[in-house]
Amino acid sequence: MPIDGLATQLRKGVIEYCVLAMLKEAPLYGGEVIQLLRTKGQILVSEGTIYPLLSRLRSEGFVETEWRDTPTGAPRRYYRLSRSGQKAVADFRDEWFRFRDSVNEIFPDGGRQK
Amino acid sequence: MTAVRANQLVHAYLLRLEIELADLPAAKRHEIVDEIRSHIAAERSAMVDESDAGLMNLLDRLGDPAEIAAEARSGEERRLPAAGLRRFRTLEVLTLALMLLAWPVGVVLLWASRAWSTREKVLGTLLPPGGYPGVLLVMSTFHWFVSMADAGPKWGQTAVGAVLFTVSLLLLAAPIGMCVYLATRMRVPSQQPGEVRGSPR
Repeated sequence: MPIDGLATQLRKGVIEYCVLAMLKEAPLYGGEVIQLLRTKGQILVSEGTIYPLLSRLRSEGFVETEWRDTPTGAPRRYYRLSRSGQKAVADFRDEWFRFRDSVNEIFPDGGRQK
Repeated sequence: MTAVRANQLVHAYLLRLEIELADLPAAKRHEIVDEIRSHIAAERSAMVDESDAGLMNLLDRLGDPAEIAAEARSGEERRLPAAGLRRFRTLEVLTLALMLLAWPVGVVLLWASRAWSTREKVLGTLLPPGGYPGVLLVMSTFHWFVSMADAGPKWGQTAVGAVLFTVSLLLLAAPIGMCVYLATRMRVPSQQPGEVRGSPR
């Protein structure tokens, strides 16, 4: 499997939870979500995909949105974590740490190649 | 870069995005295109000096419109099972309504459903049997008790009246109570086994 496809596959199931987790701190607009993800390494490749993702999270009730005025320019749509979104983040966190520990046990050298 | 050229680039990008998203519901398509349009506008206004390379990098970072559309489409596909799940809920609601009004049909649907356990199905069938038609049938026998009591002493009439009144209240509340119980015990049957409940997948 090409390493590119592998990274995409790994990202896919995780990124929406990363977005939800970021919204836990404070409501954000799409551009802010992208900026934050940019600082977290290689999680997001095509930044534009964040918008359909946010739209889906809203359709599924994990986030709520509200328009807010900006001092300059057009109003922005802010995304806020809903109650079911909070639960999804908590569920994912438990699942993720279990999963990570299992993988780390299989790769005990901490990912360094021999 | 001239402003005209820059606007052409952005316009072409958004047009490609519109075309790639053409098969999505209009509301979804507009939402995504509008958000990306304002994203581009905000990023452009933050650029100190907009250059060809700057704008092209911005569009590159956003990614191929086909990729954005693929993400949007995967969301729509994932929502399909959710629509099926809603239909299933409609069926369960119908079951509960028929349990009250057309008991035999309701009971058949109850036993055919996978939303309840056998124990819940037994309880739902027996408490009370017959739904409201059954309750009315039972209550229609009350005049017989009343006429029996009428022949006896005064305190007997009062006691029978009080007991029948209480039983009537219980009988009238029972079908509704059972429906509420079954509604709270209802399980969503189309959930994938092992799936984290409440996850966005």
